[in-house]
Amino acid sequence: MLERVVRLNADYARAIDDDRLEDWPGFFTEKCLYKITSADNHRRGLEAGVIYADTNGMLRDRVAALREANVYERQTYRHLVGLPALVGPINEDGEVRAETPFLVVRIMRNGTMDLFATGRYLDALVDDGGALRLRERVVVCDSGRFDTLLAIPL
Amino acid sequence: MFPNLVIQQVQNSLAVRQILPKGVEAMELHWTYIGFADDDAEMRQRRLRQANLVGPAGYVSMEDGCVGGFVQRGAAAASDEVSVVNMGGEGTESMDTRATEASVRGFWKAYRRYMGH
Repeated sequence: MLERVVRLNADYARAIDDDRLEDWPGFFTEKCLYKITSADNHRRGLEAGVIYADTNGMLRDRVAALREANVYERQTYRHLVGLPALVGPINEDGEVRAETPFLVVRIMRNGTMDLFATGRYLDALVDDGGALRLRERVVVCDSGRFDTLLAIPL
Repeated sequence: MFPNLVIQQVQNSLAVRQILPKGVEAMELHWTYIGFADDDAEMRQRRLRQANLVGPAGYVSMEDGCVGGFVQRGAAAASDEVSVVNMGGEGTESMDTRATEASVRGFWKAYRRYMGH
């Protein structure tokens, strides 16, 4: 299982960093939760997210907006994703929980590189017709500050 | 309250925004989202979803942050120059439409008065 989670994380990071955002919703189940929040908000049980999507359609909608509607400076990410820790028992329906640290460098079109975000992915994963998919990915950022805007998903 | 507080209502997304100056070239915007204790589950979900409209990754506010950055950098490169684009005169009277700059003109008039300009 650990190997499957590692592979999913590697594919997930490459899809985003290679600007294949259209592939990103495919890493999630149809009914899902993707949320970006801060460690402080997470600890205090505050529900709102900087990005909050509770259906796969909302993920696809965000990609469509980034491609067709939103105005933002051209930028790319480089994800460094650490090793996942499998946490908690496997549920009756085969759901696995994993926690994985990440670091994201943002590269702007003028070459500026910033350490944009660090944190951990809190995941619930299930086998979805033979593929391991995210039923839930809560992106808990260590800092509560984001530099101007968060366009591309973490 | 003035001049660094903004009360936000975008559909069912309610928030208090606080502007925190961090120097000439930096500021932070603090967001506090609000719901009500007697919101039902459906309304709570609606507020969580509609929070996507605003904030650093907001559908309607992302480009504001981007364009603000452009203007800040452009202004820094021409500190001796002045440019004004007027939309709809110079007054601060209430209007029937939101397509007006009366409120922001009122803001700057008050700001100048408080700062003694």
